[in-house]
Amino acid sequence: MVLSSLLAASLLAATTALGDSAAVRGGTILQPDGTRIEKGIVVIEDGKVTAVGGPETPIPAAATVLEADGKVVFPGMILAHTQVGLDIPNENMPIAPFVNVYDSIEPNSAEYEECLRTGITTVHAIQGNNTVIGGLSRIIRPQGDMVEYMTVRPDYALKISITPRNGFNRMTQLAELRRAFADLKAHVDAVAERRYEEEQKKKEEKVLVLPDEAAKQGLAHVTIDDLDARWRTLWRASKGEIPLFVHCDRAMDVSNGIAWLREAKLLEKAVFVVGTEAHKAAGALKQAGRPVILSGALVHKETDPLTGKESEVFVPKVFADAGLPFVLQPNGFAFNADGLLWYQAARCVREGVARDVALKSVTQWAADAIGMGDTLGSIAPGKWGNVAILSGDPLDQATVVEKLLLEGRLAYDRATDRRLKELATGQELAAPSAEAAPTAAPAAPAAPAAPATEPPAAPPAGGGSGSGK
Amino acid sequence: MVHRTAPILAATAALLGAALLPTASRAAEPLRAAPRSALPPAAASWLGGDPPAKLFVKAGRIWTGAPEGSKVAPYLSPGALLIVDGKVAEVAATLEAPPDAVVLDLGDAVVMPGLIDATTTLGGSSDFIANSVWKDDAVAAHFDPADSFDSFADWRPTLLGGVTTVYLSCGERRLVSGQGAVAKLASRGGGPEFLARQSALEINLGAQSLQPPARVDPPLPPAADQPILPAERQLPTTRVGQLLGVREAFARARGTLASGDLSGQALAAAVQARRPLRITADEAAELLRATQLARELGHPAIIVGAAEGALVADQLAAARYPVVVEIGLSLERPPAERGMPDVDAPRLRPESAAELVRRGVKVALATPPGAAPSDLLLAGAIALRGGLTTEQAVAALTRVPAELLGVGHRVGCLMPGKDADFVVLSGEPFLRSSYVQKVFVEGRLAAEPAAATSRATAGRGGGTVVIRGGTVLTGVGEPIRGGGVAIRDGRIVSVGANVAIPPGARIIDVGPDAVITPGFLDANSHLEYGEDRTNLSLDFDLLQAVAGADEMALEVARHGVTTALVQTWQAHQAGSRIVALKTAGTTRAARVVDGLAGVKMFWRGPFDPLLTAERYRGQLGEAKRYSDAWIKHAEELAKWNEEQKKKSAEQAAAEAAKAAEPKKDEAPAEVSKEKKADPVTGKWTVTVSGGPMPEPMSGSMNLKLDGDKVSGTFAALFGDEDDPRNVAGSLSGKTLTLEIDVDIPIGKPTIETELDADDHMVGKLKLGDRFAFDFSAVRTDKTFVEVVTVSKGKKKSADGRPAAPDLKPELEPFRRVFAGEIPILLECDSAVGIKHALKVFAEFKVEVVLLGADELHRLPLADWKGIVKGIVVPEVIEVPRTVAIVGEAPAPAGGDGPRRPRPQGDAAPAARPVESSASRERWVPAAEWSALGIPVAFQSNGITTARGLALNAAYAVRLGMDPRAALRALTIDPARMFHIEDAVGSLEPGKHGDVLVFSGDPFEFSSRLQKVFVAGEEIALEMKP
Repeated sequence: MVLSSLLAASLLAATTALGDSAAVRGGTILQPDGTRIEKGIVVIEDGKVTAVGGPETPIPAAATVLEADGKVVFPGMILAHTQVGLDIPNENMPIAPFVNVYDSIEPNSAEYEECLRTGITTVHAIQGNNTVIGGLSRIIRPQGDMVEYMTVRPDYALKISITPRNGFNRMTQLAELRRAFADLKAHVDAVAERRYEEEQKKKEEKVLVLPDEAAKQGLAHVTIDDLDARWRTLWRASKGEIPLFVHCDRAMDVSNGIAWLREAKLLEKAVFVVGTEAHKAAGALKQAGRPVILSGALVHKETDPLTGKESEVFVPKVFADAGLPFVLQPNGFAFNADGLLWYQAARCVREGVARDVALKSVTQWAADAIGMGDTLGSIAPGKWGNVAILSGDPLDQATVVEKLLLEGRLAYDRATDRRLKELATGQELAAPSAEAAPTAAPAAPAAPAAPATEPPAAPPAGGGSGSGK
Repeated sequence: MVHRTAPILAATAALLGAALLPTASRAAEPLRAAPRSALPPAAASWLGGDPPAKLFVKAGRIWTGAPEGSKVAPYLSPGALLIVDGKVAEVAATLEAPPDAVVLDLGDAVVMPGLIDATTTLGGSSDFIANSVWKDDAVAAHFDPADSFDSFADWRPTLLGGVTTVYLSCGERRLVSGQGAVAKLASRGGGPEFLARQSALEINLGAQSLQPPARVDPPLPPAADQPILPAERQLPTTRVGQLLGVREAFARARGTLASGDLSGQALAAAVQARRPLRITADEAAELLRATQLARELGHPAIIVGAAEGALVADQLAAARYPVVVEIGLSLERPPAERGMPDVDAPRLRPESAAELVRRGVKVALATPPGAAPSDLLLAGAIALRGGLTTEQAVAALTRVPAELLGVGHRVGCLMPGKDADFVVLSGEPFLRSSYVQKVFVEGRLAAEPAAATSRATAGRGGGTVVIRGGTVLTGVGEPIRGGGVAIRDGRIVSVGANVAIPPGARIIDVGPDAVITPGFLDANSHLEYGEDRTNLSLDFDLLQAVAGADEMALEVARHGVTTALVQTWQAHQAGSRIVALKTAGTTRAARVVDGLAGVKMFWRGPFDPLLTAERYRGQLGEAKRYSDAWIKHAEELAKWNEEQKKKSAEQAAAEAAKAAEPKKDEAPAEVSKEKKADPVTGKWTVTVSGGPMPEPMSGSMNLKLDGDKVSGTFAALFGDEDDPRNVAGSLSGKTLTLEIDVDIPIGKPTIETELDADDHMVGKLKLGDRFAFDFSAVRTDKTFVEVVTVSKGKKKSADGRPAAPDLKPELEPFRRVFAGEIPILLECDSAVGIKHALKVFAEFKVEVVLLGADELHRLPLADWKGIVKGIVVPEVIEVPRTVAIVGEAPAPAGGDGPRRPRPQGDAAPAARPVESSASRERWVPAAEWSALGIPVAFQSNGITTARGLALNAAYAVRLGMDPRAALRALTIDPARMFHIEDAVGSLEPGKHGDVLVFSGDPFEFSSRLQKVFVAGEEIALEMKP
């Protein structure tokens, strides 16, 4: 943290390619709820949107104006639960709350470049599903040479899976989950007892109590540093300080998950990551009232055991009809069409989901799911300047991302996309020189409240993404 | 709730203690309490609709599961149930149905309580985690199979085995594997429901729990003061170790527990509540150890497994613990799992259950862990093999397991106050052929097998009807005692003693006295014609008027006549059609057996037989010529096709040869020999190339020169051989200009060529002024071939294709007669007529069946036996006749005038019978002809008088006809006469499923026709009001 603040200080003076303010002029501003502003203007200052309006919106004199005539201006999309850029999704240990995705992220991964190319501005990197307690996640922007520069929110959420991990069945999975929390309690009680004794030593009158009572009274004096490093994250989670991303692949897992969360009094912190069979539990999910992230497979296939008839259900339609907000994920990454986030939203529209629901599922609701609903997810004054300039409608397959703004900086420009040019022409191009880098240091704005949510400082000029290997 | 039960129950209840009473009296549990319906209702759309508030069920037999000595008998036949709001309100042999109840009449089906499987692994099992680097304890009392039971799954396959309630067990691999739950697989609200959670503590003393994996607890991170220790062995490794491990665990549970010790806490809760122990033990020694352990620990106990229970039955009886005997389909226990110690699996003795029951032990039957609970009924049947009675087995599958599992207050028997969970079976529960028809849970239809047309049951017996019992008279061959007939999709699939029954088949048991016969045939019926006595000629096709069977046809069907040879009342002079129809069936297609089963002809009286014979000869001759013309045409056409094929091959070869030849200068010799041929007329092979075409294209054109005008057809680039384009133009000198009649935007294509040599032209084919192709053609044939554009069919050419003869509908049926496919049914009353007719028919070599033939007896047998294929005897069985001496006329007494030759058959004057009453006798043509070995058939000669056909036949038998011949005369013989024996006439595989069931010998007047099947569909024998 110290390092990042020093870097921030040293780099605030650095000039950016676009300056401290930018404006996008002339494009059709499309909001996730479907409202359009023709020939609109978006003004971004210090990384935040300050004005959104029609052609008469005033633009600051110093602003760099990006012409978007004939283009569509859309908020950057959000991956709310992904293992993109991680080296392996899960550790071998079933209970690993001390694992942090910080160690796994590869900043130079081509997958982050692909995120920018396809219009994704925020990524919630989190452990995979093959676990019991997976570890801590991190919200990052897909640009930066070091994880600190990518980080938007560190140590964000704890990954838990109710669906059994390989080798487990539901009985053993839930037993392990309960045992982890029981072991935590045992450890905390031991620490609390010790703290009580220490507190007692300070006092004049020593009150001798039974160990149980000592543990209860000592709990108030326990701080996080007293605990063994292995248990700190789980303790924070058990107190409800961090969100839980709970993987429930099947309907029965949703049921069990909700029951366990209620028992542990953690339902209010949960975000459900569900599979396709969970459409059968749509009612229970709606009643729980928590965000729901749908796996990349959107179609549930089932064979009737008696007649052999196969039936298919398009799960987002079930959720949309039930009035349950949901978040989409890509399926696999980039090799098939459904590896593209906008394509998943387009499939929803094809199957009858309302357009605004489909668009929200990859923008506003995704931002809500990662707790950044008031800073991301749409283009509105006060929100971060994560804006994509598209060549057409976001759900049209012919549309491409022309430019992508990350907090007001030009993070991606299709005209200078080296990899794309190599693919099209078949020639290898020279790596761009340091000065010619179009993307310069991001002077990121401060994010609201809590510790460790400040986006750390920018990379030195000449770094930036798009310049891969 | 306990006070109402019988003494033995009270004793066991006392033994099992408080744990068997309803949940309310159980001690408070620190771990999750068990709410009645802890699961959200599954969004299962496969369950039946909303159940009625009141359901009244009537069935042929009801197993109530009630204990001996209770007010309700264990077996009711017949029985009735009244279900109100999902609970049994009343059960008795007969009940009054309340007016507001929905009535479900199950016929002769068998109802039994929903089965309860006391051991299942539907909740998975708490086996050791594979490849785990974790502490995996052998004593793990905290596992709860309710966690992994999938309430969203489709449990219908299990329900269709009759199982409605299951105990979810935790597995056999750990010494203490967890605490199980009792779940109903469906409920009144729809989805599964838990009846009890954490209901029993499971202890495994079998071989499977020996040698658990070592326990590993690596510190993270390891350090010098926190080293990674080697994995520690844990109990049990020996049998003694098992007992020691359990005692240690219990002792630990009674002491102080670490706060992280979930297993210890769970065990402590079980000890505090004095929860029943489920001790799994199979071998004799294990069983004894189990009883010893249970006594020592002081908890109520249930012994589970007991494969070798027969060996220690006395000790088990003395211990007085209830036993769950696990019976799988194989009489061995399931094979040893991987990683388990290699021990001999104990051998299941099917008599274990019987031995224990005999000594008064409460025995429940269950499927072994890992087996499908839907096989539970089969487990019951195997227990019967070991000596249990049906009643004991039913109790062991229903009431006893319910009590063992502590849910006897809700399920297990069909007695007032219990949940209305019942299974509808097609027959007695433990018969191989019985299958589950419906499953009700709390009065709601929870499962029934998929429809017969579904993929899962198609080809597996769905839609099959099996009629069995009694004697089967197939119509051919010997009677089969105790046989059966299986019908599927309207066709007979098998007949025989002990016929194979596919699963899901509907079985109709007709009893040992019944007689099963094929459906009867009426050889002369006027069903579709009704009262219309018009003589309709041969070209009239009755089939157009045939529709679904009307009430008259069904009336005939109800009396056993399933197929009728329908014909006009009187034949047309030139003949009429006979149609073979079924007397039941909803569509024309279902009713028609043969659209033309015969030609009916009528020979007028004895007057002028020679003239009549001539007329017939002429008629038949014309018909024969017509028929022969068609046969000849068919042969010629086949030959012509052959030739065409050869010719076209030759022609193609010739053309190819010509095309391959280098362009040669025309031999002047050719020119001098013939007169100068027309330079243009003929068939040309065309080559188009150049221009935008990548390769040259060839085709043909036919041209005809008329003066200087040229016309013809073109088939290259535009059009093809079968669909050429017209072309027209002119010839001036050596230049030929043609225009092709094709509509394209840039204008019609034109050809400009020069006849530079004989039979050759070269030039250009132009499309507007934009494209020009090189064009050349070679003449291959100098005759102009008129190409008539026929739409995509065979070209008709004048090349000697044989012309078909004119179609004459009134003679068409005779083609089949002369082909030997159908007979001529001759109606003739007089012997003279018959004689002459037969002579004519013999000349033409046609098959003849005689209809009526009252005077046939006056002809010598030898004259007609070889020609007549069968006789349809008159509808009046017993007819008078004049006794005639058949044979040579005796010499006249004394001389008299020249003897006039008389046609044979008329008695010689000296032997002419005296027409006196004394010489008239009554005779039975059916009996006599069949005795002579001639096939006969019965007729009704009416519309619905066919009702009496069977009785007629019985009367014939009474009057002396051989009953076997009588049955043949009703079935296979008429079928053979009219060549429909491949479809009807006997009970043989492949034929129509027309089956009759009589209560006794069909030719006894006292027998009643009980069932009629036409094409596998049963005909209701009561007429609709």
